[in-house]
Amino acid sequence: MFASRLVIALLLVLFTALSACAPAASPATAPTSAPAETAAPKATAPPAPTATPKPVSLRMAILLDESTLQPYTYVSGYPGWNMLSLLYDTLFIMDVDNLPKPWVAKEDKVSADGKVHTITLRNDVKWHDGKPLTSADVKFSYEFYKKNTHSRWTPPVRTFVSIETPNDTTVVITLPAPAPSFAIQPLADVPIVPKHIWENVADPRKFENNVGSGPFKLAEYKADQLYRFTANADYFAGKPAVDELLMPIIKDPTTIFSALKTGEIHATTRDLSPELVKDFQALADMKVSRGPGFATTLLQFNAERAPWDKKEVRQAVALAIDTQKLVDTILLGYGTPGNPGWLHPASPLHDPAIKGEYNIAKSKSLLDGLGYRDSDGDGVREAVGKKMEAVLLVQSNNPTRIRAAELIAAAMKDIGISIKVTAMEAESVTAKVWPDFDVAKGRDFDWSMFGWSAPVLTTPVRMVTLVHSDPLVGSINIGGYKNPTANKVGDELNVTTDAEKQKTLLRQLEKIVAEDLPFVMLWYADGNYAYRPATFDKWVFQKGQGVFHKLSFFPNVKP
Amino acid sequence: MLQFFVGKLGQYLLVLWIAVTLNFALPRLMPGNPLALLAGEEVNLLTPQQRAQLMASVGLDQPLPVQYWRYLQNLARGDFGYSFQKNKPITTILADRLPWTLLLTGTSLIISTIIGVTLGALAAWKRGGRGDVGLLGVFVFLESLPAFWVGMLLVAFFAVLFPIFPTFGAVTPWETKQGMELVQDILRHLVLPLSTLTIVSVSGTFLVARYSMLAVLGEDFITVARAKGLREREILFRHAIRNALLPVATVFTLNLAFAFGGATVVETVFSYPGVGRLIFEAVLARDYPVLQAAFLMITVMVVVANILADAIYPFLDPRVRHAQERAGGSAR
Amino acid sequence: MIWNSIKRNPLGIIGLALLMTMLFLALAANFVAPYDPTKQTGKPFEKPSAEHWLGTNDIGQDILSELIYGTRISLLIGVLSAAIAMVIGTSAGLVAGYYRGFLGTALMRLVDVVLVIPFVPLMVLLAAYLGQSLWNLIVVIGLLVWARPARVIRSQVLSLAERDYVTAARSVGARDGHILVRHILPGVLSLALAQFVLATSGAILLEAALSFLGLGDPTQKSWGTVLFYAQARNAFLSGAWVWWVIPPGLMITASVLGFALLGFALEETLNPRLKARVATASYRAAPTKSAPAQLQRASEARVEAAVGSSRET
Repeated sequence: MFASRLVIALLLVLFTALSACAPAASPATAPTSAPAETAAPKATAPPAPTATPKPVSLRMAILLDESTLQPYTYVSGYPGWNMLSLLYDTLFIMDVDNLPKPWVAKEDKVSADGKVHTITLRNDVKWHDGKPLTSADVKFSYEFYKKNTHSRWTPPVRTFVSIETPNDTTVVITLPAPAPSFAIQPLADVPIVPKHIWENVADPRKFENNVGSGPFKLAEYKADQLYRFTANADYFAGKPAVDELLMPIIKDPTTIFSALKTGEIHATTRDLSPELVKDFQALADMKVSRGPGFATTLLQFNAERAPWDKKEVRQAVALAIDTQKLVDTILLGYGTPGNPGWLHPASPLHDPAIKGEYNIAKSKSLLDGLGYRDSDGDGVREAVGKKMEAVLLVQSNNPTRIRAAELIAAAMKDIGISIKVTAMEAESVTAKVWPDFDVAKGRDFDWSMFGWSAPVLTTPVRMVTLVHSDPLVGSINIGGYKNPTANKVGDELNVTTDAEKQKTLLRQLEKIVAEDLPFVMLWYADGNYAYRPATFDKWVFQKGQGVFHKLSFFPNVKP
Repeated sequence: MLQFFVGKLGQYLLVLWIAVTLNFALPRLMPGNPLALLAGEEVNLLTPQQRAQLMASVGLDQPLPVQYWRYLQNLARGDFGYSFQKNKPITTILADRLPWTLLLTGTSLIISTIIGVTLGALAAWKRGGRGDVGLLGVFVFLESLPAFWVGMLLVAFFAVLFPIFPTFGAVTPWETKQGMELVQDILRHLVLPLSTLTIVSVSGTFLVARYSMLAVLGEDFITVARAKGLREREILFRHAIRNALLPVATVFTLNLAFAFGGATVVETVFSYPGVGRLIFEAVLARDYPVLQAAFLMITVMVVVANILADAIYPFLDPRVRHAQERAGGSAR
Repeated sequence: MIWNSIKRNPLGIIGLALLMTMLFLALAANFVAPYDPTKQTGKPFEKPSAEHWLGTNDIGQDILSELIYGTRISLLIGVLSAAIAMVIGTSAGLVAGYYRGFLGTALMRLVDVVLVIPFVPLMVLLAAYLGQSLWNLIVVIGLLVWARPARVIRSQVLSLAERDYVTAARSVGARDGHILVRHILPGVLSLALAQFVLATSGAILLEAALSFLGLGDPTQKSWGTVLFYAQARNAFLSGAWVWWVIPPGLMITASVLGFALLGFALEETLNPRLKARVATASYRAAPTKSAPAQLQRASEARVEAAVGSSRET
């Protein structure tokens, strides 16, 4: 009897022991989705006495898994798109000042009416499998993106009237109307994929292949653990300065930075939090690369909801927010206070006369002037019979934004507006502010903290998408802001290719935005990127993007 | 007897079905949808037709009952679908995560059980005395510690201040080790998360063991054994423990089932690739297929464990077996 | 009677002492705390000094004041969630224990289903669905914690329902509702009290874990929120963890410990099932001879034990 119980107990223990033993086998033989590349160079070659430089193996951590890392499956704009650009090339490239320059293409001749682009390609670009990159691949790629929807690649190519390839190195694209940002999108943004590999792909999201023409090949991908890139020695721009790039996935930001401190990793795509900058700068074996960032943080109004539909009210709110104090308190000074007209203050397109203002007295008198006073002595003004109160939504996974929301709420109390800060999970905030990511579907919020990623600010003309009231044009006008003058300027901007004219129109639009204030620009956070110079020191800071981009691996190439 | 088991089975199947339906419904009830995952990162630039096309490509445009029916059909076929977020078949994703999960939670369970049972029996033996009170105090204290706090402190001490152990992951991702080296690497990465998890969950088994031991020690047959003049030691180890282990065994079986769900907080702190964190991220991203599959796996495991425990009980407890036999012939 | 049982148990006394301290801090926060924790009284990330004993947080608020005022929030959340859990759990336990037929079984199966869904993901779902406000948090935690007390109460009701006085009451024609409220409920109250105290300790821990994961209400200054910001602002890397992470963790541990010790002391003496024979199938308490019923009891008791011991991390 005891024996039978013993047997059962032993079986239980054995079962659990077996399940505990299992993983020893799996990780070493985990299936990888990359083409069969040889493993990382183990020291099989005898130590070379000559001055051959040691292969540079760089460990740079990322926060998210970027899936199978092809144009249809990568996950994030940053660093996902940047990683993608290591494997695939674009026809043009953004240089460190965010100006599009030829890359795989040698030049782009635009016809007089702006509708026909004749692009000449280089003839020395090869795919990772050795085949040459030709105009057929370009034509195929753009038509593939037109047919198979992807939110980033499809919009720039969907209006193409025709794509001709008179020879292997020439692509002629005809548009229905001039596209002012053609060089940026699609030329410097949309990746070219090999026709001979992708031509029979039916479901692009399930296709696991990373053969591109880029400076690196994907040697290994362990889901949720690691990407391993090896240098493409035959790359047309030369051999990349790093031989092997390992990108471990570390989901927790604190862990990333402690791993950086201990030397387990040499760099990371995640920018350094403000509170760590001084510490890291003080370390002897660490360097911090600093520069302006183009991701924006703003306070978004619902311009369709009273009393926030009145521009004087919005102006009063903006006057009561001390953006410099926000930058000093929350970003510890590592940022630039917002420009009410949207454009970055350091941009040559920005009109220096437009500035933010902090003036509580003026704010109060604006509200008084409208007749919105506090009639019942509870500290909150009434506007047309209703209390001036709002729910301020904020994404709960963004602590700095939550702090900003709290400080804004405190500031509003001073001028007699009652704000209730409500933190919600990010997807839920989006569901209220921007249901289904479609501005045509309306909105259900008062105020919300929001932010746009760098590309929106980097492409100046995208400002139109923020303020145009036609949902198809103003695709990120999430506040429902309507101004016919702004629409007119926007429409013109969308077809203006002349640089000087663009600048004039942009400044016009900037002025309108600075006065109407569909949103209050709070700050542009700086980019601070820490790295260990001993392993790799050639990082190049690209304005608004940081140090992780193709050009950092080609320090001697000036596109 | 057979009736009883069929009835029980029926009940469990019902529970399973309800859980499966809830697993289907709950993610879809949340605000937001996986469009961002399917579309790529700049969703706003798509036209309404293109969005509709995307949702249709994964069947999300169908009315809910149709989706539900398809879901059940696929389940029956064993097709768990593709993750929206990771674009890989879910069976692959789960197969990758499961061994690590079980390594962490399973080992923790075994260690907790051994420690808990030993000390629980001891505490019950010395009931009311200084040893008992002391042990009880210690274990209640351990149960009061927030898991993430313990984990974070361990990271601060042992990984950053005194860098003995790695700060993240299950293995060193950029080195492909083999054999003994691999085992060592895995163990080094396992120490901190395992310690954290064990510290906060060991008291569960301790308390169950202690209570059940107390109950057994109060039974008549123990009094009889003492009256017969048996030594305390013999009473404890030959008579008491065997009975006291029964609830511990069933608790162990159930906890083994829950082990399939991972330990979300510990996995987060240590970036350990387990199922807990997978579910957490899938919820935030609205990756319905992953959620459905993972919840289902855990539910099935729990139901199986329940059935298993029900089936084993007669073997473990002869009183039950005899009662079964008495109730009318062989039960099988 | 309750007081006597606690007095005899040294752990119970420690628990009570801890709770009294916490209660004092919560009530006297205005006097004890040096600053208003919502005001910026210093520079961000200040180290401990004479003005700020525990330094300042990421926007310059005094951490010590945050912790003292945090007692109010954390205790409030703990007690209210547990109260909700107890109301639901006791009602469910009463009904399921008294009505043994279909209703009772159905109710217990519902409990099974609730227990089977993984905790934290369910929490994430509910947080996303309901929104992350203080009250929603309380309700959600309450909804997650009611299952264990329900089972324990049910077991107690099962045995109470067979007592002589209940049979007597029924034979004179007393209605079910009357019996439940006047005869059974009083017998369950002291056990419910112990369960309430234990549920509070669990609720406080759960709130801390949820806040840490970013699912709590970050605009309320609970200890969990303090830790959320400490973690988010890299306290570990800047050395600030000594004064920003250890103290809130200690506060959480101390209050959870207080409730747990008190609860265990109460349960030790008040749970009659623990006094005599049980936690495994008990054949004495209910003299039914049929094997199915015995197996039923066995599996119920086993699950009860399991529910009590499993803990979601």
